[in-house]
This record gives sequence, C-alpha cells and structure tokens, in this order.
Amino acid sequence: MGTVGRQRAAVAAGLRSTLREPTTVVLLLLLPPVVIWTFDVSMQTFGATPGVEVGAAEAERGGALFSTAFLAGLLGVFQVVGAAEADGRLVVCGYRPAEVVSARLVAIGLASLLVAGITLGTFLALVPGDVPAPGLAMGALVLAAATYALLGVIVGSLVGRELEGSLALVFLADFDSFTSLDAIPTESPLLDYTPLTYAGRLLEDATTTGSIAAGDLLAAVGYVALLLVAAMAVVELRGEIA
Amino acid sequence: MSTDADPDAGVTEPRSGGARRSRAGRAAVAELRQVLRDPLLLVLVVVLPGYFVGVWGWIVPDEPITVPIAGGAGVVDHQVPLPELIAAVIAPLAGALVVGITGLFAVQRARDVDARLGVAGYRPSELLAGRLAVLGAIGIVVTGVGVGVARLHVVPAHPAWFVLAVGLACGIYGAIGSVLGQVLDRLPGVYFLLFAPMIDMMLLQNPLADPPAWAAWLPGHHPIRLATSAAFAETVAIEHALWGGVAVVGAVTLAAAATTLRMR
Repeated sequence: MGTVGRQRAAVAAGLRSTLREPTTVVLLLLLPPVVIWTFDVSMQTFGATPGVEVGAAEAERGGALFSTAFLAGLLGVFQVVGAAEADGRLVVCGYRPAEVVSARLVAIGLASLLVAGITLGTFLALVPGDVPAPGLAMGALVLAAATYALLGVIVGSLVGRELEGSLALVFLADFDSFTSLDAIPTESPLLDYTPLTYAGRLLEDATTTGSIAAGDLLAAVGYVALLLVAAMAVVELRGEIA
Repeated sequence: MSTDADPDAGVTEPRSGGARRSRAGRAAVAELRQVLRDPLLLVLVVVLPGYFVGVWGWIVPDEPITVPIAGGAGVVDHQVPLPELIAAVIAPLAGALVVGITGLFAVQRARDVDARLGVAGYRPSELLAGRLAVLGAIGIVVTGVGVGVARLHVVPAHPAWFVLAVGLACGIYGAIGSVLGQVLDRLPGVYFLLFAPMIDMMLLQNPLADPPAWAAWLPGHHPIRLATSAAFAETVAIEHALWGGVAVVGAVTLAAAATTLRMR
C-alpha cells in the first residue's frame, strides 16, 4: 500500500473509532442546535441586570462558538486516549509514528469540520436578520474547532486518561466560554490570550460587519499553528505510539 | 473502579444487615483504593476547583452590583461586590463539575465489573453505596478546596451553610453523573456534564439573571440559592437546604434505579 493509501486507511480507522457509537453521532448532529438554543434562552435572562447586556445574536454566537470548540476538544481528548492502543498496533504493522499522528489529526479535523458546518447551519437558521459573511463565519468556527481539537490532543497526550483529560479540558473550556461571552463583566489583560479570543472576534466581525481584521485572523491562525506544533511535539515526545 | 473487590465474598455470607454493610464497605474500599492509585486524579481534584474559583474572583471588576438574595425573611435586594458574588456562585459550580464527571467515569469503569459482582451475590445497593461513599469523599475534598479558595474573595456570613451548599451541589451532580454513566457513553456523558452545570448554575441560577419559572426545577437551583444566601443574607433561607437535600435523595434514588436496571 502506498503512503496515500496508508494515510487514508489510518484516517478511516480514526473516523470509524469516533463515529461508531450511535450516541456520538446523535450528539454531533443534535448538540449544536440544542446548545445554541439553550444559550439563547439562558442569556436572555441576563437582560434585566443593569450593566449586563447580551443580545440574542450575541447569545447565539456564544452558543455556536462553545458547541463547536468544545465538541472538537473532547473529540481530541477521546481520540488520542482511546486510539492509543490501536495506533500502537498500526506502528507495529509498519506505519511511521508521524503518519499515525497526522492521520489522527486529520480524522479529528474532519469531525470538527462536520461539527462546524452543522453549527453554522443552525446559527444561520436561528440568528435574527441576515449574516453578512457566512463563509467567514464558517472559517471562524473551523478555527475555533481546530484550536480546541489541538488542545484536546495535547491534554489527552499529556494526561493519557479520559477522566483526567476531560476534567482538565472542561475547566479550561468553561472558563474560556464565559470570558468570551461577555455575559459577566471581566477585566484582565490575560483574557486577550485565552484560546477562543481571536476566533470569537472573527466570528463576531463576520456575523456583524461582514469583514474581519487581518490582525485577528493572523493571531487565530498563529494560535492554531503553535498548537499544531505543540501537539505534534507532545505526541512524539510522549512516545506513546512508538 | 471495583476491580479489587472480592467477588466471592457475597456468596458465602448471610444477607444480614451487618454483612450487607460489610460488602458495601469492601466495595467502597476497593473504589477508594482505585482512586488513590491515580495521583493525577487527586491532583486535578484539588487544583482544578482551586484555579477555577480563584481565577474567576480575580478577573471580574471590583464593582458593587445589586442582586436579589434569598434570606430568612424572603428575597431582598443586596448590594454586593461582583467578585464576591461570582466566587459564591463558582464554588458550587466547580464542585458539581468535578464530582459529576468523576461519578460518570466511576460508573463507566465499573459497569463490567458490576455485572460480575452481581452474579457473585452483590446487590446493586451495595455497589452503589460503595461508589457514593467514594464520590462523597471526593466531594468533601472538592468542597474544602472550593470553599477555601472562595474565601480569598468572599467571607460567607454563614460559613457552615455555605459549605453545605457546595456539598449539595456536589451530591446532586455526583448522583446525576452516576445515572448518566449507566445510560450514556463517556463522550456524550462528559459533554452533558460540561454543559448542564454551567448552563444551570452559572447562567440560569445566577443572581444576575432573571430566570424563567421552570429554572427553579433544575438541579442547581437550591444549592446556588443557599450559597448566595449563606454568603450575603443576614439570615439563611433554610428552605433551600431542605429542598437541596430532597434533590440529593431524589438523584441518588434515580442512580440506584439505574444501577439496578443495568445489573438485571
């Protein structure tokens, strides 16, 4: 089998391991609409407090960002931890570790793309008024998904267990989501560097003005590139599939 | 998590109350031993709630905000600093997140072993009692950490009631995690336990929000009301402690039913 064929087989194995559980497939399809709707209902309750204003579009945008990013993040953790044994067997069968790692990342990326697409469809259906740049909004959601998928891979590789990896990711994700929602006033320069900051700004611009700031795009892509390098390094250094 | 339990123990012992307690105790010891073998889990159980509560109290502006707080004489508007309010809400939330997800995994890891122990004579109630005992121990640790770190930002007017509020949040969501562990796979279960406590406790029960009436039926309602009451009110709205206790009993009953059905 050639390199491309081997990659394809490894990616297919990764996707199968992600999608073989019926509940996971249902989750991928149903959660984005449920989360966006829930955010919409929940955030409306903040309207009565002076100084705390969250409109319907902001709430739905927060829900879209949250559902896309964290589903991808959990897929990252579960893929890395759950597939470690199978990946080890692929290496025994002659795959190079780098091939297995990249196949794993491609599988997570494809699943994230699916989630981003479903989320965007739901968002476009629910958000009041027209979205000026749906293509840019899709790009922002894909960047958010990629950011958290890679964080999931890093956490999963470092921790090596689903429970501990899930706990670490959940606390990071919950914090990140709330600070990017602006439901509760926050003030700290550190919040400019949380994982969803730039993807969130891109999504906001794409859904409000229709144009995005080049600096935010560079920062979001740079964030993903750095995490990609870190993920590859962590997986290789851990040597779990060697 | 029950891999160390002696599966033969239940076969030879009579089904007296003492023997049942003994088997439940052995199941609890086996579960606890499994947790203690996992130092990373112990570290996370201590560090994550501490970081969560501590950072949240630090990033919000130190400004007073007027919010309705339940007290012994009813709901009264109080002016409280935002970091104190957020710390009082985040401490129960952190507990719910940790104990809920740990409960889910505790059940997931033990599902196959439970079936074998069932064949060996263990009753579902005995296995569940052992598991809940360990979740309770984790809940006590998380409560201690959460309340301790929250004190950096807020000194509750009624500390014991505040501790109880955090403990109730741990108990309710720990039992919900145990139920979900019986009916869902890990990925959907974690996803649910990521969203549900946050939407429930941080958004819908937040004193900054004006929630719809049905939000009072959500699991986080009474723990958050009790926590904010204990932190800021002159007298505590004790009815939230009572209803929170009822919610814990209800959630544990559901967990028992799910465990029994699963072992049949």
